[in-house]
Amino acid sequence: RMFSAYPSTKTYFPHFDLHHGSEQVRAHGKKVVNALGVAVKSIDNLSQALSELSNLHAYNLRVDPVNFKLLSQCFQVVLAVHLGSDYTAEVHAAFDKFLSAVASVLAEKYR
Amino acid sequence: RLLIVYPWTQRFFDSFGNLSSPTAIVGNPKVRAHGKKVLTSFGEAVKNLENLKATYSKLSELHCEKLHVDPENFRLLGNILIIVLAAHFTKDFTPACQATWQKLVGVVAHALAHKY
Repeated sequence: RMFSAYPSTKTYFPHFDLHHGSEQVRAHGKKVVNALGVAVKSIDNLSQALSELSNLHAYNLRVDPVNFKLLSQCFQVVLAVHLGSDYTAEVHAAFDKFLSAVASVLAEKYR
Repeated sequence: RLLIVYPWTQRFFDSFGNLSSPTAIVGNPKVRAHGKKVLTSFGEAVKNLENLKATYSKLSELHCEKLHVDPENFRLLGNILIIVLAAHFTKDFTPACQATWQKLVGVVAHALAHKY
């Protein structure tokens, strides 16, 4: 969904098959969602829980942090699609805050 | 929803009265009226896609010179609108649909920021 809505994000995946239904994209998405699951379980200590991922993003991946916001938007759209009216303003605010905190941690070792 | 998810956006609405909680915000008649005004204007954008900068020229000046609104807020609002649409249309809000809307809110935000 992110690759459709924000084509510039594709620049980080020149080595992927980005066609709809790509197994690579599916597997990668699963990896990302699992990491978010880890984050949720350690919500009071994100820095420590995501330390490895922090290093990865700072020293290897070097994804510009603006992209974390783009992915966050896509995540929330999918949540809204699934939850409909249950994606209330309060739930929305909580999720946005959470994803924003995760993004901060991922970018915290950048410089 | 913008005022709840990004509470700092309340800074532009001191005259709106009670914004102290999500319940207060949702029940506030000034908020509702303003939302209607904003969405109506959005409707104008949709009708004038070929000519957005001209359509929003006066609004852009207003937001810059009188209202002093950071254009980043236009992006925040656009994203909020999309999430509300997604919650409303659920599975019909396909990736292609989202991509189109992201593009639309992007050009609207750009047109509103044009006169800054």
